[in-house]
Amino acid sequence: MVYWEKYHFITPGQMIEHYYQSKRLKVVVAVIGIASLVPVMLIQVSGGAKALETMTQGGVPYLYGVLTMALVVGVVVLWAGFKGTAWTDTFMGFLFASILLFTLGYVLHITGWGHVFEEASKYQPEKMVNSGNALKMLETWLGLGFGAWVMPHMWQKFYSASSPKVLGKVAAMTPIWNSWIMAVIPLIVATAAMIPGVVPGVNVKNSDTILPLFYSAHFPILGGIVCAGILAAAMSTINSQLLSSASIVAEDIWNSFAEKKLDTHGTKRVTQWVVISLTVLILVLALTPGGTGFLVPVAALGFGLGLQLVPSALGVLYFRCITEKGAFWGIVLGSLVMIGCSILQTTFSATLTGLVVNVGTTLLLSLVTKPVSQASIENYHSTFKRLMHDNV
Amino acid sequence: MEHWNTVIIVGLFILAFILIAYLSKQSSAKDIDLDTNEQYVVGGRQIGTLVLLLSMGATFFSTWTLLGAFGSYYRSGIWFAGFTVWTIFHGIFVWLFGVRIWFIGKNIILLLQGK
Repeated sequence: MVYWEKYHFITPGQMIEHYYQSKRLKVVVAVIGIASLVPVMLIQVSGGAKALETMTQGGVPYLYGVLTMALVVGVVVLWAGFKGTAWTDTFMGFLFASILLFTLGYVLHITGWGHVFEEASKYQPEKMVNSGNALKMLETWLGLGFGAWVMPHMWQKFYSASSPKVLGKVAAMTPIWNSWIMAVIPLIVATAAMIPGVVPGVNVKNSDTILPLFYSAHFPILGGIVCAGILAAAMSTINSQLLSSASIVAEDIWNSFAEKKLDTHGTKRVTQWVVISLTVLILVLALTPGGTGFLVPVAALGFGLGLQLVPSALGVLYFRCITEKGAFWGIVLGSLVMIGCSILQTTFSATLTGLVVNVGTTLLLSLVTKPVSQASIENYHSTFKRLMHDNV
Repeated sequence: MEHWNTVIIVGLFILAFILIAYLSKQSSAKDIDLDTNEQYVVGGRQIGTLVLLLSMGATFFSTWTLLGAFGSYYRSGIWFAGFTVWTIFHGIFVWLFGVRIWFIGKNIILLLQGK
C-alpha cells in the first residue's frame, strides 16, 4: 500500500530539518540565513538614504530618506506579502530597464553609434586591457553564483514558482536580463564617461555618481528619476529579504521553541509582527549614530555567509553521503572561521577559507558518522531520480 | 525648484509602488485561502515567469547597480566585465537546484509502506 503525503515547505530550514531529521540544523540554518540578510537590509536603507542626500545636495535629508524607505517597504511587505513584493519588484525592474536603456541610447547617440570603445581608448588606453585579479574574480563568481541561490529569500522564490517550467524559463533568461542591466549597459556608459564632455566633472573619486552627474549635465529635469531609481534599487533588495527574515523567525525559530506549534494562520500573524519588529529595528539602527558601522563588516559577509549553507543544501538535493553531523559542524566551523578571518582582516580570503573549512569538515565527518535515514534517501534522492532521469 | 522636481518624481514613484502593491493584494483576494502563511510568504506558489524573472533580478539590483557598477567600470576598465560570468552560473544553478527545491517544497511524496 502506498500513501502520498504533501508537505508545503516555506523556509529552507524546514526542508533541511525534514531531510536530516535535525532541529538543531534547522535553527543554525535559520540563524545564518538571518545573519546574512538583516545587515544587508540595513546597509541598503542607510546607503540609499545617503546617496539620495548627496545627489540632492541635502534636498532630501538622510532622515527623510531612511524614514521613507523603511516605512514604504515595511507597510507594503506587511500588507501585501510575497505577491506585493514580487509585483513591485517587477515594476522596479521595468523602471531600472527604462532608465538604463534611455541612458544607453543617449550615450550612444552623443558618442557616435559603435565608436564608444574606440574613442575612449584614445584617452584612457590603460583601461582597455585585461588587468584584473583572477583570484578575487573567482571569489566574486563563487560568492554571487553559489551564494545567491542558497540565500533564504532566493530559496523562497523557487518555492513561489507556479511550475518547474517557469523556473526553466527563468534560468534561461536570467543571465541575459541580469548581465544587460548589471554589466553591459554600465560598461558602455562608464566607458563613454572616459571621453571628455560625455559626463562633465567625472573623476576617479566621484565615479560612483556617474549616472547622477550624467543626468544633471544633460537632463537636469529628470534627476528625480535617478533618485526614484535609487530608491527602487534599495527597496527591491530589502522587501523580499524582510519578508524572508520574518518568515524564518516565525517558522523556524518561534515554532521550534514555542511549547505549542502555531497553525498556519497563527504563524502568518507572528510573521507579520516580526515584519513590524524588523522594520523598526532597521529604522532605529539606521538612525543611530554609528549604528550601521558595526554591521558594515557583517553585511559585506552576506553572500559569504550564504555560501556556508551550500554543503548542507547539496546534501538534500544531490549528495546522499552528507550526514547530519557533517552538515551541522560544517556550517558552524566554516562560519566561525570565516567571521574570525574577517575580524582579524587576514590577507587570505575569509569567504574562501570559511568555505574550505566547511566543505572539509562536512566531508570528513560524513565519512565517520551515521548517514541520513533510508526514508530521507527514498523521499528525496530516489524521488529526484524517478523524476529527473526515469521520467523522460 | 530643482529639489521640488525630485520630490514630486519620487512622490509619484512611491504612489505607483503602493498602487501596484494594492492591485496585487486585490488579485490575491481572489485566491481560495488568503490567510495562510504559504499565501503570505511564497505567494501561494502561483508566480509566473515574467514576475519571477524580474523579481529575482530586482532583488540583485541594489544601489550598487545604479551607482557603484558605473564607478567600478570607470576605475577598473573593461576587465571588470568578467564579473558578469556569475549571472551564467546563477542561471545554471536556478535550474540545477531551483527545480528540485520547488518540487520538494510543494509536492514531496512520502512512500509510507504498510502504514
